[in-house]
Amino acid sequence: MDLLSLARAVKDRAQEPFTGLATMARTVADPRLPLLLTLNRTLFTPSYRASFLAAAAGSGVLRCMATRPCDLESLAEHLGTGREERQRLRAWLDIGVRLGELDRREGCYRLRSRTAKALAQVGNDAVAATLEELLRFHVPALRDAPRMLQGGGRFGLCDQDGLVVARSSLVVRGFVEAAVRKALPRTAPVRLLEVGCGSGAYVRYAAELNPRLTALAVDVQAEVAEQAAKNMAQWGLADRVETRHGDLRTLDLQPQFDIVTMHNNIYYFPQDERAEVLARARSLLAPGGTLLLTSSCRGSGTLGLEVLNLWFEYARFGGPLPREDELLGQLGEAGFDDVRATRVLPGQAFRAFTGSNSATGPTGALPARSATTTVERATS
Amino acid sequence: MTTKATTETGTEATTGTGATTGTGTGAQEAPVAAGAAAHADLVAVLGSPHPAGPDELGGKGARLDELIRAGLPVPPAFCLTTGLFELFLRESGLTAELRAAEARSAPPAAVREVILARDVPEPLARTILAAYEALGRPRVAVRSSAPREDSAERSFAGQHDTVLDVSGDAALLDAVKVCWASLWSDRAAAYRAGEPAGAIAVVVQEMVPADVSGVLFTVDPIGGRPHRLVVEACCGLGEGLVSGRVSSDFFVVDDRTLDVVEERVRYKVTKCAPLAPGRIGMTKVDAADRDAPCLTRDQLAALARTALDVRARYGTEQDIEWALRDGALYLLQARPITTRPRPEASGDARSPYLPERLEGQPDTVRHGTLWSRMDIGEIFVGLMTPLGLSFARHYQDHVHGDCAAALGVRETGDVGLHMGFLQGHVYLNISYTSYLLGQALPTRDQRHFTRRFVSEEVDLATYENPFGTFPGGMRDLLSATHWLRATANEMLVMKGRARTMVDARLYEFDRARRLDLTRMGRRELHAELSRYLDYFHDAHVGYMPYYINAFGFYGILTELCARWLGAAGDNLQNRIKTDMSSLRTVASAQEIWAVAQAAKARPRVMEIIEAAPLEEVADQLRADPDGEAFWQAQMEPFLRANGTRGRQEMELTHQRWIDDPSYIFQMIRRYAADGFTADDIMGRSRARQEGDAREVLKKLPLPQRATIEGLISMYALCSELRETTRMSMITSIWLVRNVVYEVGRRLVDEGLLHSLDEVAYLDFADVRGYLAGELPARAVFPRARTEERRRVHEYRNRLPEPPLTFVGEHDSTRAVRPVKDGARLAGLGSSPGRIVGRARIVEDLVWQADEFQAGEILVTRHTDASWTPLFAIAGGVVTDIGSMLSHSSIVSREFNVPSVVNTKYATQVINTGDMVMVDGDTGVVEVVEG
Repeated sequence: MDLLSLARAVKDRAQEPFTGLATMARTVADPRLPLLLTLNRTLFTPSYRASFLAAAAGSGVLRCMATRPCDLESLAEHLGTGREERQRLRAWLDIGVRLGELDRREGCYRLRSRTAKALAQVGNDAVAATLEELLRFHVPALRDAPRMLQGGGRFGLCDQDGLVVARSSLVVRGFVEAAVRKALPRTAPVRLLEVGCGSGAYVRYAAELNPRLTALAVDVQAEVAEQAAKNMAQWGLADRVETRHGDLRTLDLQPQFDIVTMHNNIYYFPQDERAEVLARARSLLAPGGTLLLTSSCRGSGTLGLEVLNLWFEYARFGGPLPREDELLGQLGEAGFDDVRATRVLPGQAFRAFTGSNSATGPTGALPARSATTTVERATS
Repeated sequence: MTTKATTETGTEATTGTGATTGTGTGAQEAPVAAGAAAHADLVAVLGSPHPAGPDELGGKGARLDELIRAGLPVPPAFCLTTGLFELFLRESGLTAELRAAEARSAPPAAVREVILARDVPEPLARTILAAYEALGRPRVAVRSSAPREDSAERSFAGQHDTVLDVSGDAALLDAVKVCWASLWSDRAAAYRAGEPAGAIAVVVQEMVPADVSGVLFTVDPIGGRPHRLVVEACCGLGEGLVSGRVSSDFFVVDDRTLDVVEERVRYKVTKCAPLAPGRIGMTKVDAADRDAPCLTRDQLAALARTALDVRARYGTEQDIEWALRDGALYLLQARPITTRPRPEASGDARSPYLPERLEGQPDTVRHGTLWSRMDIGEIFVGLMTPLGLSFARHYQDHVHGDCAAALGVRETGDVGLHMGFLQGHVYLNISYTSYLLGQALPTRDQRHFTRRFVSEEVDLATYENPFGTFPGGMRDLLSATHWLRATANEMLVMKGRARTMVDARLYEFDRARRLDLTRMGRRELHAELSRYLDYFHDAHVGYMPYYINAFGFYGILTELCARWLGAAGDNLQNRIKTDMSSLRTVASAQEIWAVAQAAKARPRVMEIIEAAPLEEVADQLRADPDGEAFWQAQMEPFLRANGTRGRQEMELTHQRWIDDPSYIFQMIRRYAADGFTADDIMGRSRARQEGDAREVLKKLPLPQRATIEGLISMYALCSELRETTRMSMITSIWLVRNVVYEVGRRLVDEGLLHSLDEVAYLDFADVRGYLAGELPARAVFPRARTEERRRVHEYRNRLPEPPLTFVGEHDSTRAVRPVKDGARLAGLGSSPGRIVGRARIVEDLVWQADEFQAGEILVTRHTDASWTPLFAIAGGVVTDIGSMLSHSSIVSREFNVPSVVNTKYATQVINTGDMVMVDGDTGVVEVVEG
């Protein structure tokens, strides 16, 4: 019996007769006991609850029980587990009951704690995803850092569950949309380039704000771009929005864009490449065009972001989350004028960066002259 | 246009095909001579006995052969048969190479290069050159003659190449190879669509360096009127006629009496001619020949007789190309006319109503509608190409209704009725427009709007609006309230909107200037075009209120001046100057002057501008360090401010200053040479009459004076804003033009257009549809439709201009109103003052800008903003067409240049060099000394 169990036994069963008074005395006198009891309350149980709730939310179990109480059968069916796994599922659910998140009555499980009920709501999906993200990325970053340093391992793109990231980034959706609303002209014709379009939701948002907008949406992952193209077709935007698989660094495009947007992806580029990437974005802007870049930033005191940042420190790609002043500097370095960062809500780590491309270099050759190519004109 | 020119000296020095070098070596002589004998049957001297059949001569060769045999005056020629071509392929080892290339679908350009790079084998070269020798080694025209060439296709503009003015052995062999290789020209390949290329013959014909050339149709090709021979004639070579770049005279001859029943002589500034040996290009017509008809009555009769002879021999109607050299007539080609005249092309041309709108209209509307093309924006005035017209349709369908709404008109009606089209001219439906404008308080009485369109063709006393007056009652009340609110709002926002429009214009210009459309995909071009059309919409809708309000204030001002000031107020409204520098268009002259000064300050730059051929000035400047510095410092800012100007800007085919800066360089030459000072150009306005205009006002009681002064300032403000925002409007058209021409370039590459000139025969809706969809170009732009539009346009170009204003319908075939005799012309005095000076007719602004002497009286058909720099140095301005508020009138007032517009016949009655008196107060022009 380890020390913790013993301590629990002491706490929980104080009324029960002791078989060995000496043992009890030893235990109580153990100087580590108070610490253990404290940790149990402040650390262990919350960890269990967080893990359980994240898994229950991510697997859809919470959502299931939110509609009606579920018996083991229907939950197993929902999860698609085999008959032989029932026992294991029950074991897991019972811990949930034990943690106070669930309740079991007449063979049916139902939500019990206020937290579980809240997380089960559709509207709070983004929060649930954030919890999941915390456990799946933040915890491994903290836990594995020393081992990775020793072993030389690094996180890769495969360690990131795109679905979870997409869901959790919905938390900042409102902020991004606010930034788009602020930067986008509503009536003049606009040509937009979205770098890293993901599902294409933000392009759609912009296209709805300005009915004359046409856009090119680009994503570096082929399957993501493909899905975005399907989404555009479904949203009836296929004629206005072209979707391409491509990398900003190698796009061969004329400087035709009035606005280039990069939402929550600057940290996928290594820090020392960012100024160059931004300069590249600028080269696709029309003179006087605008870059809108949104990102969460370090240095705001938000612990979660610092940990996410740690994950990127240990990743094989990208780099740390930007600091506001550092990114402003990179924007300047990339040749942007009138560079500024705006926070959408006070105290938030989320920033909208804008910069304008007002550089007017020498113009190109004269436009090809028409008509008079074959017949020369004599002059007097 | 497909003409290529080869210089004798150039090619002999550089290409050295080796074909002519073997003559000196005795060892080669024998086999070569034997070879020549062996292949002689593959060269046919046309009109002489030869074994070659029509298929071996190709379409063109076979027809010429027949004509010569018939004893018609055709310049001597020989034909290299398809057999010789095939022999060339075999002997040079190309047969297998080409078969392989076709098998792997090599691009036509690659095949052409292979052929052009190959030497003509010695024996063949000897054969060709022997025939050339027999012809007498003259200058020749070398034309391809394909067996399956479309018989309706004109040789001037055929699918296959023609090389003009060739002389010398090496040049001839090169020209022959060019024709052979043209079997793989992109457009020929497009026609074949994957079938094997077959073979091609080549006609080598003595070149006629024509004084006059043209075409004759033995039947009215579109109008279809019986007994009519239709002749079109131009100065110089016929190539100029086909490209549409030179003006031509038009004659109709009765085939029974050989009387000339119709004649339209145009002022001919340019012609197509050999400039130097082997170089064909555009040059000026001698001043004395410009006014004169190309053909005398005798020459016309001789030409008609020959044509009837040809028709009689073939028994079918003919399309004949001819040339005159030193009074001798030559036939260059004669073809049966396969397309019959279509009655609808002439029949529908009586009413401007869109056909689908005309159907439901009662007779009163059909015959009682007042139409005008005066004052509907000079950007529309004049004949438009099919492309220009279809773009005007786009404007009508997508923009015009919103423009009307922007004027505070609550019910904008059916936009399909607002505008009409007649003989390639755009008309505004004055009746319908004034009916709708009845909703606006100042024009409740329609006469306020309609009065301006009075002309001698239209008697307003008998005119009654077929649409009636806008109904009273609730609708009227709502409309009046709506108008009041909209107008009040307009007064508040007008300045701010103008500022926004200026910023947006510069943004769009800078953006477009950095785009290389040639590197954009179809989808990207689609996005560009959509964007530009949106911008086009906004720029027009934004501009319209300034335009109409300037009209409105001017009208009220005129009326109050007449009522309160009586005789003293005559023309007061025209004497009022706004601050010169505030007018954007006037500033363009000022800015050219500044650029000219900057050029003068750099001797090297001025030297290039003065000495280089106009066409090359820009390139030479940019290749020179000084020139490039000048370009960046002076030309770029100038082009940014003014470059999207051009003439008749709604016509998409017209180049803008930025596309072809020739005119700017002409004006720089002009301004730099004459040693003007800025004050000569700019200060003229301050000199006269400003003072007494103000004096007159002082006599008025204070409230009336304040009213008039208030109106003056509102008129000035609206004029200024109109000028400023006009640049946005025309820049938006330039942007659209750029995309259309990029599509045109691609169509030329694909072989669907013969040259960029043919962009004029596209339909704008097709261009839009093509970019928006995924259909292949061939399906969207079938060649037959392009040809059809070309024919219609050429036909319209022959017709006399339809009237500026008329009621009901207009019959274009009706006899033309005879030109008035006498030395006195009455028009509208649009800018006060009286001046006597030498007249100069200017038909082509770009070509004639350097001829114009400071102080001369400018006489022309109509002007627009692009003429401003010339106004700045003119002594007076006289136009055939124009109104008090046409742009040119406003600008002449600003420059204080006496001006009379709407004289109708000035360009026909007055000749260059006549001494004329222009009275801008009474609107009279008199030839003082002819």
